[in-house]
Amino acid sequence: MTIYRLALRQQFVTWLVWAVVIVLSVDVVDSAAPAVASSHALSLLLSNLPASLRSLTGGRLMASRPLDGYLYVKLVLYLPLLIGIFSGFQAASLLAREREQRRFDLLLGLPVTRRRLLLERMGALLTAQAAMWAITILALCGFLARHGLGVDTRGYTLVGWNGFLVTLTTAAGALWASAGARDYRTAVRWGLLIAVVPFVYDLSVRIAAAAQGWRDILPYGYYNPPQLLLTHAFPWGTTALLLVASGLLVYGALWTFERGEV
Amino acid sequence: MSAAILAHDLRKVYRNGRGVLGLSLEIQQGEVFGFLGPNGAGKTTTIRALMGLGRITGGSAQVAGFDVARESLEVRRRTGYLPGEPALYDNMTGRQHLALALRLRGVPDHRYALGVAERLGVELDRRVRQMSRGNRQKVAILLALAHDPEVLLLDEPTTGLDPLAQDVFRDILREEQHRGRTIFFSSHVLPEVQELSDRVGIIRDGRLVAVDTVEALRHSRLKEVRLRYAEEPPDLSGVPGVRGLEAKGQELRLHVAGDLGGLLRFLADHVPADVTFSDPSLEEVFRTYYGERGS
Repeated sequence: MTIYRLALRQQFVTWLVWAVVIVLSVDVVDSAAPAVASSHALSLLLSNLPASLRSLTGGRLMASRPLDGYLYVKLVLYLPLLIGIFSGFQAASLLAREREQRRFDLLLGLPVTRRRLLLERMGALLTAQAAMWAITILALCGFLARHGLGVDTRGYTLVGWNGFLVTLTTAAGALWASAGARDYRTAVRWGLLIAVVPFVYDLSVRIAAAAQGWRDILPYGYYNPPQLLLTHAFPWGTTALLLVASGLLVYGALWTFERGEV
Repeated sequence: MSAAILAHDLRKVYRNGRGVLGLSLEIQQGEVFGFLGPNGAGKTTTIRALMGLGRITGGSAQVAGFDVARESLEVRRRTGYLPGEPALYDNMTGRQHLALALRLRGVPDHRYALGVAERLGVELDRRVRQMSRGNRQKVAILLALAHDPEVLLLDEPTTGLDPLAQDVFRDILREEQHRGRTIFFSSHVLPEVQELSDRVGIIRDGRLVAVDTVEALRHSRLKEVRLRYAEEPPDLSGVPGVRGLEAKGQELRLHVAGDLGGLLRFLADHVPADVTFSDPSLEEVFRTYYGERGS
């Protein structure tokens, strides 16, 4: 677990920055919340928006419960993109940055296998991701409680789990894509591409679909907070699919790393 | 005495065709082996291949009795490795690096390592980002020596060290040798190689072009000759084996590589007033191997 702790230590500043960003975001959202909650004009505007634009701004939730919907749009809906970008970047850096800075000579000069090196570093990244989701969900629940709205603990825990799985798969994809990259910049480019392209693709498909019917925007497709908040059902299918996909992608990255130059 | 490092036709060829192109070598336990060659000759590639850090593309090698390709974990367990450009973690202290290395090696007793650190003058509690190049190098040397390894593979170990630290480091290497440790080190500092090594290997374009004791290399390969003539000195540029000819008035200074017969026959016809033969330094031997390329 020594390499795991070393990798966690390397990511400590990122955690700290994320926690500060979340706290500041909640503070900004919190200060604007009273105006949003009592705005009849906003509700009217939302109800008159075309379906596709209404989806982009929070869909049904925003129209029916402005404060809840506002929060949802600000903190929940697009979080996977932010954490996904962070995870893609970090996962791409896991191997490429160490390779570029020739730190593998230091680490692999010790009796450590490449498999252990990769898996413990990936484990540290997952811990960081889980912590980021936890910080975010806690901030969300704190906000709801402060404004006297019911804190849906199970619902938001499921949202956090779903989001974690999506960003885990994004990180695994970025790790796989960057494992054989010849330099750090190429690796990071791959990582960001893996994080952003599925999101943009999904968004465009859903905007097109929304024009034909009443639907919410669900970034990445497999991230579905409204349904989880509504049904409280554990997403077994999504969980199994994303875990298997992540496992295969990490295995692919390991295969490349074990056969490549360091 | 058994071989601590054994390489047979070892190859590590990169896509550009460079690397190590068939290196065969046997280094006995307790031997200090100096590895010479300019930048890009294949020194670092050889050391990394011996550590099992890259996939070798042909041949085989053993370090401490273990195959570097199939049993690299055992090799690394028994070997202390100093990379050519040691990259440490900027936000960690020397002590944290030491703790990391010893924990991964499963060494609970830090006393030996701390003794080495004290002798080298490593600033254990300072963060790497606040250290000078020399102090970083000391930390990297400490990490290589910390677990009291059987074999040391050191790539340019004295780079960046001040003269006092270099002296301490050489003392440590001599002690390690007396304790039966095997040391394989590359260096650009030829007097240092000459002073420390039992044997020297010279690598050129990925191939080992000479392996011998320092004394044998100095005797067999090259002689330094000084000639003084009473009148205008003759032209020796066409004499077989003569190189590095320097004329200063009636005095000539030159090197002769290999057979002295050609020069002696020439001198029989052009007898000088005075002549001296001497063994060159290792540096001059090294230059003859590399001078051939330029000439």
